[in-house]
Order: sequence, then C-alpha cells, then structure tokens
Amino acid sequence: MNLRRVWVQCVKELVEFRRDRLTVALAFALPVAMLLIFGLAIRLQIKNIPVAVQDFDRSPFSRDFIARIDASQELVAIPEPLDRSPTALLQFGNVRASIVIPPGTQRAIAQGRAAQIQSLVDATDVVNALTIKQILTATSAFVGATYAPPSLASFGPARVALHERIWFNPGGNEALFIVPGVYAVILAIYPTLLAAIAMVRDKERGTIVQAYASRLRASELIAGKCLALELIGLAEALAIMAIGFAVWGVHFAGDPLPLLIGTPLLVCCQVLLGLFIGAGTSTVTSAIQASGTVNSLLAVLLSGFMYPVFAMPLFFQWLSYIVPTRHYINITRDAFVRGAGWPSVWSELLSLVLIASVLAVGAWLPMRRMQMTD
Amino acid sequence: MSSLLSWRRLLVLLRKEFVQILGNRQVLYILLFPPIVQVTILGYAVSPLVKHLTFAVADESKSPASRELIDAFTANGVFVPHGEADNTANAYRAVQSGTVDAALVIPADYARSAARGASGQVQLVLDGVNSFVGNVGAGYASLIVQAYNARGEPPPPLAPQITFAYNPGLVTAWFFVPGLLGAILMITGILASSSQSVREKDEGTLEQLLMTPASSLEVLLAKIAPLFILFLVALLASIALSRLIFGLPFRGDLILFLAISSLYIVAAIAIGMLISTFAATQQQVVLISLFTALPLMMLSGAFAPIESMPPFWRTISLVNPLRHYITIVRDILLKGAGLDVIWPNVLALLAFAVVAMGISATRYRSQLR
Repeated sequence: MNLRRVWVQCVKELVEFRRDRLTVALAFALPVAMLLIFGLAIRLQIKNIPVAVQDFDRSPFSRDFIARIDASQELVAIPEPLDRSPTALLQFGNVRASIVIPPGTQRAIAQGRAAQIQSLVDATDVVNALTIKQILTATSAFVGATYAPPSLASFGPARVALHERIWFNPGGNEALFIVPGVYAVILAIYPTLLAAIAMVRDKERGTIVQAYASRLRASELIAGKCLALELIGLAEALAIMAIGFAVWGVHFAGDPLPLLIGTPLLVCCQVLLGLFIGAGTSTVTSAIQASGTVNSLLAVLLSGFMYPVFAMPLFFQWLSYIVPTRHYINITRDAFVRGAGWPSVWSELLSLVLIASVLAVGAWLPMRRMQMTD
Repeated sequence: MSSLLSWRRLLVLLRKEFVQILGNRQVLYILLFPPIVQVTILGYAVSPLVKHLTFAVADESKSPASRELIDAFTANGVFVPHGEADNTANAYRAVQSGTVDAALVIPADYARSAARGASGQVQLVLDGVNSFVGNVGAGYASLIVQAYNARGEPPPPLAPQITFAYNPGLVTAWFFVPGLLGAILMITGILASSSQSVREKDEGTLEQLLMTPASSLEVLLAKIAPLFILFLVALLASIALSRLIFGLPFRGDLILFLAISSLYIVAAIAIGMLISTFAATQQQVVLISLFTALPLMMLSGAFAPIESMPPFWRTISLVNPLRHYITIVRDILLKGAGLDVIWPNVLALLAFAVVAMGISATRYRSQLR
C-alpha cells in the first residue's frame, strides 16, 4: 500500500464532498436535528395516561381514590358521565382505561365485605396496560386499607422493607439516558450513508473505470475513502457531543479515554459497512435504501438504545453482538453516565476492533475482484 | 382537457415506469424486503417489556428466610441471578462496572429481625444508566416484595377487577407491527418516490419526457402508479405474515383499511415527489428525504408514547400523517373500529394527502415546463 496514493484519494473524496454545498449542510443538519428531537421530545417513561373514571359511589372513599390516582405521575383521571358504557369510552373517549367505582363500595369496605372496582384497560399498548394495572392494584390496596375496619387492615410491620436505590442517574433524568444513546445511533446512520454514497457514486457515473485503469490498488482506494469519511464522521461526532454538552450539560463522568478510542473505531466500522454496501450495489438509490434498511432500524432497535437487549429472544441477543452500535452505546453511556472506565468497557472496544477488521476484508474483497489487474 | 389525459399515452408511460422499476432487481428487492421482512423480524425481536434483568445477590444472612426472599425475586423471570456475590462490596462493584443491572443486598441480621417480628431491611441497587429499565425494575421489585409480604395475610379489603380489552394475551407485537408498518412504509415510500423521480433529472432524460406530447398529469400518474401498487402488495403481505406469526387480528373492515392505506401511501409518495423538486442529484434527494422522514417516524408514537412527550411536541405531532395512520391501523386491526371512531384521523390524513399532492403536482409541473 502506497501511503501517498491513499492520501491523494482521501483529498479527492473530501474535495468532492465539499463541492456539494447542500450535502455538506445536510451531513451536519441531519445529525443535529435528530439529536434535538430525541433529546427534547422523546420520553420513554410513561406519563399522563388519560383514564376515565365513573364514580357511582360518590363517597369520601371514591374521592380519595380518584385523587390518589390523579396524584400519580403516570395517570390522569378524567371524570365521565355515568351513562356511557366502558367499551364506548375506550373507543370514543380517547382514554386508555375506564374505571367504574360501583355504588356502595365504601360501605362494603367498611363492613369488611369483598368490594371490587371494575376496570376495562385498553391493552393495545402492553406497557401502558401493565402500568395501569400496577397503579390500580397499589392504589386499591392503600386506599382500601384506610377505610377497612381496624380488624381487617393489617398495620403490623411488613416482613420485608425494601429500600431501592437507583444509581448513576438517581433523578431519572431522561435526557441523560437518551442523549448518549443518540450519539451512538447518529454515528451509526450517517457515516454509513455517506460512505455508501461515496462508493457507489463512482460506479454509477462510470468514473470507477478511471480508478481501475490507474495504478491505484483496491486497498488504497478503500483506505483513502475510509480516511476521508472517518474525518467527516469524527467532525459529526464532535458537533453532536458539543451540542449535547451545551443543551443538556452531558459531560464526562469518568475517564474519557475509552470514548476517545471508541469513537474513531465505531466510525471506522460504520464507514467500512457503508463501503461494503456501496461495493455490493450498483445505484445510489439502492445503496442508500440498503444502508437505511441495515442501519436505521437495526442500529436503533437491536442496539439496546430504546429497548433492552436482554429482553429479546436469545437469537436476537446473539445477533446484537455483531451490531457495532450495541458495543459503542455501552461506551458512551459509561463515559457520560456511569463513569466506571476501562474495567467495564475494554471488551466493547475489543469487539469493535474485531468487527472493523471483518468489515475491512468484506469491503476489500468485492473491489479486488472487480479490478482487472492488481 | 382531453389532451391533458389520454389513456393511450398514460398506458405507454405506465409501461415505461413499470419496466424501469421491475427491471432493476435491487430496487424491487429493496422496496419489498423492508416492509415484509423487517416488520415480521422486528415484531418478533423487539419488546418494550423489562425482563431478564441480571442481578447479583449478596446474601449475608445465609438463612432459610433470606433464600425464600431470593426465590420470590427470581420466580417470574423479571430478575435473573447472575452469580452469587459473596459480600455487599462485591455486589455493589458488579453494578458499578455494569456487569449486572441490579444488586440485592440482604444484611446479616435479616433472619434475626424477622424472628423478632420486625421488618427485615433489604436493599436493592439498580443501574440507572438506562433510566427506563431502572424505574420499571424498581416498580417490579416493590410488587414482588408487596406480594411476598402479603403471603399468609387475609386478602386485601379492596382489589380491582381488571379486564384487558383488545389484547387480552398482552402480545407486544400487536402493538409494534402497526407502528413499524407505518414507519417503514413512510420512509421507503418517501425515499423510493423521491429518488425515482429525481433520476430523470439526474440522467437528463427529463428533457426527453418534456418533448413528448405527454401532459404533466400523465407523467405524474405514471410515476406514482407502480410504486403505489408495490407498496400495497408489501403492506398486505406483511399484514398476512403478522397474522400467521403473531396471530395479529384483523377485526375491522378490510375495504376501509385498504382505502385509508392507499391514502397514506399516496401521501408518502407525494412527500417524496415534492422533495425531488427541490433536489438536483440523487445524493441530495436522499439526504433531504431522510431529513423529512426521520422526524416523522420519531414523533409518531410508533416507538415512544405520544402522551409522554412535552406538550409542544405533542401538538406538533398532530400534523404528522404517520401518527394518524398508526392510530387508524391500531384501531381498525385491534379494536375493529369503524369510520365513526376514526373519522378525525382520516380527515387529517386526507387533508394532508390532498395538500401534499397539490403542492407537489404544481411544483412538478412547473419544472416540466
């Protein structure tokens, strides 16, 4: 490999990239827009689920019960007229559950008879449904106990008292959880996309023939493109991390070195993946669709960014090991939130090196075959 | 007006567009593969439920009582033991380094205080790096302890009777598939239509089309039709597959569903065509398409609940066609809802499709002249 030819190829790529003003603008505007939308708008915690309440009891108990449901962050109680059926409320009322407090509930509790509150829960969204169930069960037990005769309400000490501590992010600040994850997703999507375009563009325009005819080797072509896109990717990384710090105050929690090593590695993996995709397709459209398919959904959904990896079926947990984002996301979360440093992330860095090497061979092989003489 | 739309010319143009799309295996594959395969695979793989949280146990009490409590924690699969930490410090260290998601610490005097009739004090430390998982895990833990404490006690004075409507088996795929379907149709719809129509510009064949007697309406219709048919096929195939794999119900009216889906696909294609009028090259068109499609996907309720968004973003999402389409699909498929329920969403979608199509047709025509 001739390093000078690699450098010339790299400069050529950068010049070509710079010439298209709109692309340069979008290459930075897209990641920033994604970061802002995710950081400002997306909340995974369940909040403000509207539930309809039909109070047939109209007692101090029922008022207490409704007030307590309303006081929870998760649910918002909406009083409804008594003549509408619970099913109709779910269909037309824009609520996720309907609760009926039957007449005589307070009296039944006070007399120690079995009292019941009925609830019809819209289980379309399973997480919502389970949250509603959890809150209704806890509220019933608590408010019920205050109105039950003393003989029935057990006020003795519980057998176990659980003290819960949530570490690293005790305030449950969602931006702190989402933003480092978005870094990983953004750096997965855009460098891949730009690399796939850079690779396939020469082919679609036919200018690749000039490269074949020149003394440039396949490895030099790939190394040059890779270097150029690596630089662009790192500039994107710098931009989004600066914005993350400015807007949400996301800063290093511990040793920054693993992140400083991991970021170029991830960008390298993604650029190589993009070059690989570009080498395997013949038009810009299909290259972009392919990289979009592989990345925007796999990197977002199989990386543990939104949904925990360990809740997936076993096969997909294994599959997620070859997704670079999955490893990098642990590095960013460690660097910005946990701060444990090397002991917890060295294996992720090693995995990124392995994935990058496999991808480098993968991008080089098809190019080598296409070259007439090497 | 007869010169504006001639069936014979339209047929010829249609044939050209079909040949162009079907002739390119890669494009065909890429149009059909994501909706069908991704929806089914991701519907199977992705679950927002928190389970299999690994936790380290530091059982300093080493008594039958403490082992009973540990059993209660592991009984329903939410928490999975990950090696026994011999002491509290090691359990904490395991959370600190991220090897486990949680640590349960049972102090040495646990069994003794239980025998005295006092509460045994137990600590659960959760990794809050993923705040969503941390909070849900804490919620599950308190439920487990609550149930553990209630053993042998009389039933509580008040218990809610809860019925799960529409999805009694709590299958998460039933919720996810409509969202994924809408999102994938949106992104592939925009990308495919924008890059297909900018290609004529890129390759310089737009001038040739311009010189033919074909009217701009015919050109536009011919461009839309093949994509429209392919997406409708992909949509039906993925619904059928989801039915086979996840038992996804179809409780509503098929005709209504097809009509609204057509409207939605037209809206997505219209956005794509509109984008193509702003861009000069393939590369630009794709980047602008992504710039449009990604926010639409993220602010749609497909992946993150709309109710939890800050009010400003919740209002913004009202002009998002994807948001309305997902609501409609969930309502028709799972709830068997008819037009009487979903009309506001249909109206919003219709308005969006008409406006987008109108603007993009006007701009497309002006560029043909």
